[in-house]
Amino acid sequence: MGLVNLNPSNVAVNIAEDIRSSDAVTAVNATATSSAALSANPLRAGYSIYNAGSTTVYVRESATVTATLYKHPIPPGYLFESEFTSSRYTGAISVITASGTSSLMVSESTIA
Amino acid sequence: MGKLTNLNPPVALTTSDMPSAMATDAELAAAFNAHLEATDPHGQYLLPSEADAKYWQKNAAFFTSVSFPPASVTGNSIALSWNSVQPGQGIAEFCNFAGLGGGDAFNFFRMQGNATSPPSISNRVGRIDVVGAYVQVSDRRLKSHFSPAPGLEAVMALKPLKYTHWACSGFDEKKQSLTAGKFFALKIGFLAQDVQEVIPEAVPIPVSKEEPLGIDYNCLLACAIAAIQELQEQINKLRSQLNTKA
Repeated sequence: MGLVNLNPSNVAVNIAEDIRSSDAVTAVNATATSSAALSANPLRAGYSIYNAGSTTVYVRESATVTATLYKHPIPPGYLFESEFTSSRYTGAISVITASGTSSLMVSESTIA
Repeated sequence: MGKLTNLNPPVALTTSDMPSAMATDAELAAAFNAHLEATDPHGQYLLPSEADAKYWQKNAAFFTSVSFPPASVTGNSIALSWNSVQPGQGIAEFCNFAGLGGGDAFNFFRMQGNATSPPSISNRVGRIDVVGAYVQVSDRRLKSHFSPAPGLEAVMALKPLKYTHWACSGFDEKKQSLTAGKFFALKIGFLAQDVQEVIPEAVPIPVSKEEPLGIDYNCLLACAIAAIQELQEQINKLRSQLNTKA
């Protein structure tokens, strides 16, 4: 025989919708030297990077990146959007080109 | 992982963007020309090696004077034939990939001149329109020697029948008769031999005894309409007589 508690639960459950602020957009130039497209932000909800230039940009979720060790490339004219998951990446995001300069539109949304 | 989206505007494709396995119009035309210019006898069909195994084409018109097998014992005719026995049920399918065009499904021409000339609209003898109706050429400017079509008398002599119509499997020389195959369809119509006695214009003269007779049912339609008109005239006369007596 099992013992079952049929009393109503007295534990309060708080269900709140996540609200984010409007995107903060900055123009960033990626060069052959690693630079931070976004610095660390503990309130970051998500981000996107649009490569408005003509050179492929290499991105890494780290303080540094090289053209040979990166997370993913962003070809010219492509938009990269971070995936919305239960876990947020809040650290620095670095960009670099193999050679030359490419202009980026970096968008960051934060939790309100 | 995130999502990478291409926001570049679409780029118009050029010939260089086509897969190497697909022939361009120029490549196909060159293959056709090379085939036609090959020393006789040469194959009836374009060989895969001649087209580099590329058979895709668009906006292509292919006119040829290549000798095809004769379609009848009298010669001077051609047969376009292919093996449609396997796989499937032996059905020949004709497909017009018309795209966004609004033209007929198919046009049929009887041409003067050489086989490399494009068809002239004046030489069209029939067409299958966009909804499948067969439209036969019937222009007054191409007709002469008019006289009334046979009417009620001819129609009354016809014998409409319901029958089993067998596909022909060949000609039996000993019996001097056509041989019925094993496939059939249930039909309602006429016997060409019967119609030939009454309305000979409706039965084209065969080129040999091995050729099954056929019926131009459009001829019968004209006769049927003539018969209806005769009947209506008789009705009108009877009405007139009744009115006079009344």
